[in-house]
Amino acid sequence: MIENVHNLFGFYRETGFCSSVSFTKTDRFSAISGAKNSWPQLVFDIDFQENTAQELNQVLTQAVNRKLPVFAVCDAALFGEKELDYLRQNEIYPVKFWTLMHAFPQPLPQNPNGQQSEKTEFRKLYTDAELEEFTALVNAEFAQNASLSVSLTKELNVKDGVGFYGLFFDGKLTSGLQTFSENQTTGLYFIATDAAFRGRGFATELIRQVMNNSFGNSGELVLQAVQKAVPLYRRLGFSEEGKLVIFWKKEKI
Amino acid sequence: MTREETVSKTLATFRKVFGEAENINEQTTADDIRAWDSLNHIVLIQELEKTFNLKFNLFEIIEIRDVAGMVDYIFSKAGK
Repeated sequence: MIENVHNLFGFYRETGFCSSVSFTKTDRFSAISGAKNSWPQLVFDIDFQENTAQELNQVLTQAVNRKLPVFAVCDAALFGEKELDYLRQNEIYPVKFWTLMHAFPQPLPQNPNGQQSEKTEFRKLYTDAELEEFTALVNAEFAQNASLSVSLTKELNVKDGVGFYGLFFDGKLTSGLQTFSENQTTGLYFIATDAAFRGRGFATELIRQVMNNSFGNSGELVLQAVQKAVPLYRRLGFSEEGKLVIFWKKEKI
Repeated sequence: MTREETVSKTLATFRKVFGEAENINEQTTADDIRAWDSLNHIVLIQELEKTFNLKFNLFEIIEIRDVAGMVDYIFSKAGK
C-alpha cells in the first residue's frame, strides 16, 4: 500500500466519529457514510490478499447488502486490464483518480505573478461564518454526488489534529483547505478556490503559505490531487507517490 | 472512419445521453454540462462503446472530461 494513504484513512476514521457520520469496521474493510447525498460515502482500507478484483467485488457486494456506501478507494496499481474486465462484468466501474503527492515544508519564494499584497491574508478559520463560507467553497468546487454539510465542517473543526485555513483577499475568502495531522504527517484536504478567483494565483499562494508558515516544523505534507492540479503541486515542491482510484458499484434497482 | 465522422457520432451520443437541450459542441467540457458527473460519465462511456462498437480501457478514459479529448481518444482507437 502507498505510504501516505495512512493519513487519508486516518482522516476518514476521525470523520467517522462525528455525530452525523456512521463508521463501520469489519475484518476486511472500513466504511464511512454520512446522511443521504452527503459526504462522506466511502469504503476504505480494504485488506486485499491475492485476487484484488474478486475481493473488491465481495467487499462492495457486502457493502450493498449492509446498506453501506458503494464507492471504494483503492490503490490503482493493484488493478490491471484483466481486473477491470472482471469488475466491469460485475458492474463495478472506476470513476475517479487521485494522485497521491507529498512534500516536506520549505520556504518558497514569492510568486512574482501571485497575489501577495496588503489586501491578502492567510489565517486559520474560526468563526461559524468563515466555516460556512469554506463549506460553500468546497461544495461549489467538488460536490457532484455528495456535498459537505456545514454541521460536519463545524464538528470537525473542534477535533484535535483538524484545522481549516483560508486565504482572504480584501476580506473575502478566495481559497481554503482543511488539514488533518497525525503521526507528524499533515494531510491537506478539500483544497478549493472560489470560481471568481481561479487562475489568478490564489491557490498557489495558499499552498505557499502552508509550506512557509503553518506546518514548518511538523514533518511531511501529503495530499490527493486531481489530474489537472498535479502540475501546480509539482511546481510547489510536491512529488507523486502513487495513484488511488475510486470504484463505484452500480446498485441494482 | 474520418475524424469528422468521429466528431459527428460522438456529438450525437453526447446529445442522446445528456439531452438535445444542451448546447454540445467540440469545445464543451464537463463544466458546461451539469449532469456530466462521474456516474453519468460511465453511462456516456457505455453509450460511446455501443456507438463505435469498441471497448475502451476505463483507466484511460475516466479522466477525459471534454468532448474534444473524447473525440481524440476515440479516433485514436477507431480511426485507423
